[in-house]
Amino acid sequence: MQSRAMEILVGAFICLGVAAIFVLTMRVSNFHAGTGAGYTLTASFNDIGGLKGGAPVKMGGVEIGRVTKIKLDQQTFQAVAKIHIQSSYKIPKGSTASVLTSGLLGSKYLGVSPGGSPQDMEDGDSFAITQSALVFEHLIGQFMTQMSGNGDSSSGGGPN
Amino acid sequence: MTAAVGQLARSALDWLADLGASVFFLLRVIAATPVLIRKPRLLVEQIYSIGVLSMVIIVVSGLFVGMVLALSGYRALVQFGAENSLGTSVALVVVRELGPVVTALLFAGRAGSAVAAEIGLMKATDQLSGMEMMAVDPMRRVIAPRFVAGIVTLPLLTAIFSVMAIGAGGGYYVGVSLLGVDASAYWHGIQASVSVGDLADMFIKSGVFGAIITWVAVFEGYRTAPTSAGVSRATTNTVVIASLAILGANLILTAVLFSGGA
Repeated sequence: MQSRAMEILVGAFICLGVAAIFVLTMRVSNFHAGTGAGYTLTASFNDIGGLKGGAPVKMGGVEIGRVTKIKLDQQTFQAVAKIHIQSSYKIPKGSTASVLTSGLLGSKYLGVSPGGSPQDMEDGDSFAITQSALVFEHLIGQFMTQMSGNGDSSSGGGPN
Repeated sequence: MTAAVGQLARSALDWLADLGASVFFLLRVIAATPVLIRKPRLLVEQIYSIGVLSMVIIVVSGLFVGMVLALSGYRALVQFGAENSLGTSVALVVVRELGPVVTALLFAGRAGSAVAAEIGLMKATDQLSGMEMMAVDPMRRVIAPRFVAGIVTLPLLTAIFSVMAIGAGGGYYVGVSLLGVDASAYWHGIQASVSVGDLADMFIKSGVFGAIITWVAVFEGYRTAPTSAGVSRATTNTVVIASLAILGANLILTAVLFSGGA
């Protein structure tokens, strides 16, 4: 009886350890991305920023799907994001997809703003209007160029 | 002066001889492991005494480590408005470093010392020589099961520790339930930053640590002086040597796995 109790405990320990490995793997990996009932859309961006596969797709702040894959279109040199949307959510045609950041230093996600069409997007459709990620380096670069341009004109402009 | 140099040289030679003896011992242990295929019960008994009995300390430590990481991480991140990255910071620290290392250090203290003391006491009470007299190889009957049990159980214990630290009881409880971090941001941060490769590295590390700890423990126990002082020394040596070896091996493994993943 004593040895049977020990065997049961060892079996429970192994099960618990394997369950812990399973939970870790499933929680850490993006296995669930792209699975389940739904439809697939694509969106092309000039600059995708730090968006990664597995990132959430949100509409009105509610998660409606996931980015499943990101690749570069060799013809247009645009980043193409493949998106899996849960079947319970409909997206009207003419909607806009934007690469957004949650918080100042948060992770990237795809935000969808609804369009005005009465028809919904279907499996295989792509977003006509997209907005690329806001890259801080570009913004700062533009700001610096503008500042130096203003500086030059003010210093260069003498009394006429 | 000459005497001091001579003493130093003797100590260095003794150390080298110990290292060589431990390597020969390890080879004998590995050669004796196939017996576990025919007698798995020996392994099951050791998984119980090494793994199951270490569970409580691992689970409780995992909870507390996760809570502390979430608290201190939140305090640092909230200054930058980046508290949504709490999941990322907790999971990265636990999976890459603290999970394998802290579990291994606790395992060395709990199970390694117990193995060394048990084998040392068997030697002090002539049980090992008694086995040899009855044509039972203590290497197969006593040493090999403990060695393999260490390699098998430590990765499982590390997984349990990590789930406790990151999951519901530890970091998640403090971060999401107490401090109000968004739950989906917590999990998404983990998914975005920790890869399956990081988990694989974690299990490779903990398997190696398990081998190191039980190797040190069985060697120290087997060669101990058959006295109470000898058993006590073997126990202390096991914890000290195994802990230092874990920290050293962690540096090497992190460098190797990091360069492999880069």
